[in-house]
Amino acid sequence: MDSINLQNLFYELDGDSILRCIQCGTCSASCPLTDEMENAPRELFALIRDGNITEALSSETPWYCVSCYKCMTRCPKEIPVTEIIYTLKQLAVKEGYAPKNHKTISLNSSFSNCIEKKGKVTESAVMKCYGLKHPIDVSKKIPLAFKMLKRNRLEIITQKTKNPSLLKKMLEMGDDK
Amino acid sequence: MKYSFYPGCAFKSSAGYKESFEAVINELNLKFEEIEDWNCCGATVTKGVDDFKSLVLTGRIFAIAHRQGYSVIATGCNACYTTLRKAAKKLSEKDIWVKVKEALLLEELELPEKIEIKHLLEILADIPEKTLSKNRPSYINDISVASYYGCQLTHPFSNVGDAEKPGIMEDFLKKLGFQVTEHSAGTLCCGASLAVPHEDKCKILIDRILGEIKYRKADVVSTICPLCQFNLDSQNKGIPITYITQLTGLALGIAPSKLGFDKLLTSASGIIK
Repeated sequence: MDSINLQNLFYELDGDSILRCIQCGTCSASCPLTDEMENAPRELFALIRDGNITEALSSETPWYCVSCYKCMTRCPKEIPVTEIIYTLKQLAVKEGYAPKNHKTISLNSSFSNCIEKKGKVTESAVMKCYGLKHPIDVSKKIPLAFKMLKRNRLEIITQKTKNPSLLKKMLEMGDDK
Repeated sequence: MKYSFYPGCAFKSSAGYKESFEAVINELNLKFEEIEDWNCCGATVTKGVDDFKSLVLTGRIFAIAHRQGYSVIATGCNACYTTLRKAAKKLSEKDIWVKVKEALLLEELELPEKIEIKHLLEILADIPEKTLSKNRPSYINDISVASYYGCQLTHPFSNVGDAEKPGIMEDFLKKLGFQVTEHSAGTLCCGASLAVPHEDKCKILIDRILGEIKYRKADVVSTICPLCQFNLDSQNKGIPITYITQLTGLALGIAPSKLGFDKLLTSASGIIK
């Protein structure tokens, strides 16, 4: 999809609320991980309005969003900032712009994988899956895992729903729409 | 009143949330029924993948609660609370509701038109003071508690008052007989699941929260979300990070051994007499 069509699609998916943005920077200043972002939310919105949506979609910024909703709560123009970040994440992955090997994306796909296979999420299973790509991160958690084990909190057996494959089928029903 | 209960994936393995919740509701004669065969709500992840998928996950939870005869779902996790409330709002749009309803028919489930989501804290906060004070041990009045809400309880899909300074937990702790520590870190973000891939960056957030709470000289922190509790507790800063249900249990005179304190990483033995 070319840049103009992408921008149209983004605006159709409720992204047009960013046209109200006054560039005050309240969102960026309220963000707990703003220091990690190459373009904080205010800059991201400016990029999109200037026609650089592909740059916004390739940005690491959405993947540092922790969904605390501070930006959305405080925005003086009532722009649903956090929701727009979610839309950018969806578009970035679906259209192939998401940064390669970003650790948040690995964690999220380990989480989604767990839902698709089991219907429920178990920490140890997510960490096992994430650890295949980022073994150092997981090895740093081993002392903590031992402490959890000692306190009978480490779930070895994964939790699951009665029929995970039926749930998966239902989840996939929207794929072609 | 009887509530439908959505535990969420982290509840069972958390540091005594389940144990203390069960002991407290038993003592107070509150009735909760777990949603049968519940699934993950998708938390903050599925919404970033696909809107429809995230609404099927939440819609299935609503439909099972509805089948069990409930119109109110209670949860003790902030991420579940926000995810479920947000979905309930989205599903009030007819065209979206129809699509999700269709998918759920595959499991012969009926998606309700309306469902109410409450946080466990809201239900506890409604309990009259005289019910809470009957067996209160006297040492409770000497404990100063810092409320830590985390971010997802109070932000924008919420129903618990001011987003930055809600006050509901402080009011409840006072009713329980505790001293309340005033501080400014109650709704700051702990980094949530990003503490796994970006540990160093999230450590700064947690240090900021616990630094402020310790500066205000609280004896203990009260939390209402498994992920918040875990992130704060795993930094082991010498101040116990407990669940509101554990503190409620102490104030109700329940034996500490029944409240899962042994599961905390930072010991709370200093506050229990």
